[in-house]
Amino acid sequence: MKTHRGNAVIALALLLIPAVSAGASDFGLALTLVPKVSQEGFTLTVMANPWFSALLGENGELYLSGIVKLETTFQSATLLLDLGRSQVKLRPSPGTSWEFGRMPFADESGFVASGLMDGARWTGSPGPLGASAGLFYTGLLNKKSAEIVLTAADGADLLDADRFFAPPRLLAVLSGGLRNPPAFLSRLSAQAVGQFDLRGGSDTLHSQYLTLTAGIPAGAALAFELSAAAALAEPSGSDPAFHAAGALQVSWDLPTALKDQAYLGLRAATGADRGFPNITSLEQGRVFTPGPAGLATARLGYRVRPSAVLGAEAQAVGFLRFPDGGPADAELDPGSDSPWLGAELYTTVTWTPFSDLSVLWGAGVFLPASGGAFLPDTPARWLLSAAAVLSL
Amino acid sequence: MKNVILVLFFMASAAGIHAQPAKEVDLLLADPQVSYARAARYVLPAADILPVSTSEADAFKAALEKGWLPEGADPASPIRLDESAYLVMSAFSLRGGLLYRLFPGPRYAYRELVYKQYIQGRRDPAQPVPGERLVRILGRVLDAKGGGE
Repeated sequence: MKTHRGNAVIALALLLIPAVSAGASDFGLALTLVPKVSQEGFTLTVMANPWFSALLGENGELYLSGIVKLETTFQSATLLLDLGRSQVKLRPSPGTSWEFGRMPFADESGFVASGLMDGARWTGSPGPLGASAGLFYTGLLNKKSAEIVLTAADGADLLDADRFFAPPRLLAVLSGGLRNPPAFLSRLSAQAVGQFDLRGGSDTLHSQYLTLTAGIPAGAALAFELSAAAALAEPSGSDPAFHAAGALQVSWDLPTALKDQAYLGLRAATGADRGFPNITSLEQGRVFTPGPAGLATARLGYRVRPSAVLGAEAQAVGFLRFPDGGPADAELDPGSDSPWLGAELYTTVTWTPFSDLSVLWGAGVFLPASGGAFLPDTPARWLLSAAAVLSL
Repeated sequence: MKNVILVLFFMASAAGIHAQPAKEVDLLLADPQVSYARAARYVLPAADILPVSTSEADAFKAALEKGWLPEGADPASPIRLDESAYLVMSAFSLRGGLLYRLFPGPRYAYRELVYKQYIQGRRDPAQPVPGERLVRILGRVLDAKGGGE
């Protein structure tokens, strides 16, 4: 089965090569180095992303990229080889495009799925709408990159060292938004996502999602964005369960010369009945990284860009859990029903001395003892990291 | 829009000195594949390296001597997008990336102009350059220069 899938990818690539206009192509390599140290130890990640792009005919573009990732603790090492964003994009007319291959996808609410997906997507402008429709399959993705765990069977596959691919699921996505929303809105859009578990057997989960998003400007410097997501989960052998999630983001462009912005983000997703069924892993913190189900977060942040080459951001996040569901963690106190999980502080500095070289430093700490949900002697968790990216 | 107006203003000035009212500008805008000589004719005066009245032949010769165009280039042949990027980067003395500093040439000049969004839209380094695209690229460069770069 794995061989057949690999052959299909190679065959597709071979079919595309003759279509590439002679000479009309480009290639490159991005090198990334990420040392990271935390209370769990030191890791070094070295990543190479070769890429190739070419024009196809009068209206098409081809982009192929790969991922070679080595992660080492100096006691052990893992190597990941994968296909990165690799797609054909056709623009038959202005405002209309077709994409085929492996492409980035992120749902509008941030509660459903994010990452690279294999499939096809149409984008167009019917009438007053900006719209898109996509059909994606997850069974050709690397399981470690996709991080799809919706059922116990998915979890077992993730731990199975002999398994490379992510669980096979089909995602159907339909999105639409007003191209010219009413004056009091900057954005108004809706998105429907259907997720169909193709695994078969007795442990499956289908789920459907409906998301509404509205952007509300309040003057030149202040903006609000509201998202609400409803989900219907259909686990095999159980009754369907309804879930909800919502987010409010407020951003304020400060009236200074520093191009700085303050923001406040509130997010919450229900946790009962196995929790809001986010398809991919959507980490809600940087040091403490629970998924969104059964969790509420309040995030206060400030970002500044004092010069063209320097940027910085600091944020504080408070984590609360709902009585039902919520994150699993080995250091949670089983006898506590406190909703307050703790607070996280995280800062990043980005330095881009050249257009092809950028360096990012990050430092953060999670203080579980500030809440009552963790065992009393749980130590603080911390993370120091750096990342250097060079584009050749 | 501002940048395109800037360039058209510059070109109209050049055409005025030649006493060829707007005809030269029309020819450039209608040109589907700008030649090496024509590219040099517009880029070098825009960068104040040559007078606006310079001829295509003189501009081509100057650019070739400075090493900003490929050795042995035929002045009437179409210039590639990456080659025009190197011509622009060199003429305007634009600061490039680390790789451009180590290996100055069309490859990394093209990358730099894409990064700075001076080159926009469907693109490839080997593409010929229509006159309208050259006008837009020059306009964005002049706009950025005027903006204090």
